[in-house]
Amino acid sequence: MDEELISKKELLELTKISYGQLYRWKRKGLIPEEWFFRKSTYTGQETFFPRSRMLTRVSRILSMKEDVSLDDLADAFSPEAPASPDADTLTRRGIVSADAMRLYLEGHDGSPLSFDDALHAYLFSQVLMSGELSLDEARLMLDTLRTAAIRFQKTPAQVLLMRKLGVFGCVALTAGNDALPDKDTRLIRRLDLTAAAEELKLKLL
Amino acid sequence: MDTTKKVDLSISGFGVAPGGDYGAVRISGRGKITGDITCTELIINGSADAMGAVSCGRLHINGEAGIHGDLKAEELKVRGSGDFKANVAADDLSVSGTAHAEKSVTAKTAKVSGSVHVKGDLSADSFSSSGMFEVDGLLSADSVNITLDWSTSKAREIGGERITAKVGVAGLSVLRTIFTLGTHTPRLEADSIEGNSVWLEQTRARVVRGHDVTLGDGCDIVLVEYSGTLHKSGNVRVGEERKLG
Repeated sequence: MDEELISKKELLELTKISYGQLYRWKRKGLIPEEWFFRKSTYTGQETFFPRSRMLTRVSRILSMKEDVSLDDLADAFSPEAPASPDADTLTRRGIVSADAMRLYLEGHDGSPLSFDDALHAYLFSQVLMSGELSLDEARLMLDTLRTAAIRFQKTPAQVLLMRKLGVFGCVALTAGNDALPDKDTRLIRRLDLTAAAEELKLKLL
Repeated sequence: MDTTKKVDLSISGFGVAPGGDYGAVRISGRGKITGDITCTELIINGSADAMGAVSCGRLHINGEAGIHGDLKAEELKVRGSGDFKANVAADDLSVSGTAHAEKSVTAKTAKVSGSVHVKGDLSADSFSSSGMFEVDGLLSADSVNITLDWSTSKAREIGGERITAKVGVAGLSVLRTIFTLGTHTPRLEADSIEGNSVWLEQTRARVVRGHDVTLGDGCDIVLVEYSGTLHKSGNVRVGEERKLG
């Protein structure tokens, strides 16, 4: 995948973090090993990072680190799903609105929520509360999320929410793929599920 | 919690044991453990090979040992010779003998007074050396404290918060030069050294970057980039200096 890179030097200048912080975060696993690229430049071998992912990650760490231990943060950034939260915790902590949770549970089979279920409820709540989707449309999105998880054997990387001439539609995509809708189709929102899962884990800390 | 008393294991003479869950394990002659082993302590006085993974409270290598699987220990002391074929993780690591690691080493505190060769990265909260080390990858710690006495230490990259490399008492001695005919020069060699504060002596590096950089006698640096201060004293060669920000 061709991704814009950022040099270590520029990263430090831009984010005002120090070498000490960067190396500590690397050791604690807050920044994945695969994000460190060594490339030849005219001054020799230098380290580069995937620009947008790295900047997002750094600002997230900086916004959290006061009250959360680095080890907890490392868990939140790991791709492993954490212990599943129950519906009550999600609503009580304002992660999923009470109304959205009630509507979500109507379509749920009654088993305890898995992390993926919690993630779906979180997104369902977001699109409903923002008013971007109607209830029926949000339900269609939920259905797509669930079906995609079964078909791909894992949570899809992205879901595109679109509307054409007032009619809603959505598409789930696996990692590294992009979709090109026709010119009359409006993209309402692009849901990045990896980022959403990270957000959710941080909120659950 | 498991409250059953674990079986101790002692090999003196010649012995082979399977892996398993033990209490204290002592190998005094020549021993081999064929599978994964978990134990409260593993003391090796003779020669031993562990063919699987090792997980223990204390691992003391006084003789020689080859650990073929991943190693996890709270305390790892290598006074003899240790050969680690897979990853090593220890809270407290000290090497006064010789250690060779094929992969990476992580520790909370790492102390080297003997010699260490790590083919991967060496990461610790705090790293100090008065011996000799060679790290083929990244040496990273909040505090990196290197005392240069008899030999040349090397790392591809060194990164952390505070990095110091200073010549120790033995390194300064005129007698050293006379006795060794000048062959044992205290020196640090790295491709890049990056830290918030960097204080170096007798160091050869391609690039040194930091907020506050101090270069003392015997430094030969191709490029220095600093955002705070740069101090130089003694016989220092710098190819290019850049003040950032």
